[in-house]
Amino acid sequence: MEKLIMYLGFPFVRYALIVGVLIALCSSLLGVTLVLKRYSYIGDGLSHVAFGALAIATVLNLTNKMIIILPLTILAAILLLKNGNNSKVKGDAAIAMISVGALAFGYLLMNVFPSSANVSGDVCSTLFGSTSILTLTKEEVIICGILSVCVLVVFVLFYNRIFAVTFDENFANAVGTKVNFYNLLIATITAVIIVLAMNLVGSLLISALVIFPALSAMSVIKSFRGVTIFSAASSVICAFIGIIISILGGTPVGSTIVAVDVVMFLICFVIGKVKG
Amino acid sequence: MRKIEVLILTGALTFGLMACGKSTAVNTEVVDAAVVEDISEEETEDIQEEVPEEEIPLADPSVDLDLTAMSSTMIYAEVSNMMMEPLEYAGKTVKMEGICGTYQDPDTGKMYYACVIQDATQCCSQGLEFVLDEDKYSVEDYPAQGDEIEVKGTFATYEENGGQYLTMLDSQLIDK
Repeated sequence: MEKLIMYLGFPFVRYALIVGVLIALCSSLLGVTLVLKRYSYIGDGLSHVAFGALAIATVLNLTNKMIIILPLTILAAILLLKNGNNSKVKGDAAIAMISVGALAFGYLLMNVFPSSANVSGDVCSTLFGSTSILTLTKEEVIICGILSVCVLVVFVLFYNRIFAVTFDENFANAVGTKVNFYNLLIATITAVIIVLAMNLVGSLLISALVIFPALSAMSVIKSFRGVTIFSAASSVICAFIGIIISILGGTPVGSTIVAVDVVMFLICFVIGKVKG
Repeated sequence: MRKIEVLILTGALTFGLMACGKSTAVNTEVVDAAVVEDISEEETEDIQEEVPEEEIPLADPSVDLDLTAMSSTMIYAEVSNMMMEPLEYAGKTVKMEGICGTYQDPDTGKMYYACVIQDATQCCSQGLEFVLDEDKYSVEDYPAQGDEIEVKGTFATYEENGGQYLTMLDSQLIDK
């Protein structure tokens, strides 16, 4: 406990906890929608696109890489989600196509135009997010905070519409809901969260941050509102505990958070089975 | 009966989750002592059966920043922050332990020494240059490449050949 109090005295630890909790909250909210729309793996796909965009930004030696990463990731998300269930190339194939292509091109660019002496180390750190959340600059913390708050506000304001589009696009369209607009909105928010979440858990583990809280909630709660609230709460708790364990135990932050998410899912799964 | 089966499964899962592994690695490659560079080489792994609990000593009150009293994740993050915000740490006494890295400038022949640490995934390393206190140490007293060292010094920045570098001045080697 004394060690924890000492660590909390460091500003970068406080920043990590604040940003980590916000990112976990945002990703869990979107996770419910994505899981129900059968787009569970989109986090992985978009994170690979973000990785490819990061490679381009690194090659171009940009100070603020968000200028490239965010627009490209949003574009990819729009391409994948905008047309919803009516796209020519269905969800899983489209995600796989864009995902592996971006990952391959990104790694290729970083090797052909290396910006540091240890490309593999940089790639590994980006993919697994070992300490990225603990090395945020003040500007990055402010940007993460603002984007997270925007995502939360949008989700709260458009909750009913997002609910309708999630469960039955055709019915929502029939009653006059602008389905394409809300799919576009979901795509944009998803892209923003993915880019932010790369700092927390790394590119390879983002899907866990999106999927596990939603699945944990669905194991014990039956209503959409209840699932959303439980998902948010469990994601925040798991992210907080994961960060604390990693700084106390010296483990990689990203994988520790995911491990806690897995444990939470198992607990909820068992509770759900016992409840019947 | 179904609920009993689930409870037995819960117990088995809980028992299974109690087993965890911990790995450590030793890095022995040459690093540039004046600038932060990443190296990656894993030599050994030591697997333990219980949940990893780093034995971290209490902080040394004689220094402003005792990195030896932190977990490996915190150490790497703190050193990264020192690199990004050097002015916030200028003048502070720092104590750290790691592997000695050496580098010799091919043009000037000057030797640089650094204390190198790795991040939790063991794929990236960072180093902080140190210069031993000239009043207490001679050139022969510097550690060799790959030695495990514990060093205490005053964090400072300096300029050389048009670049700004970070170092620990008036450093002392601490016997382990």
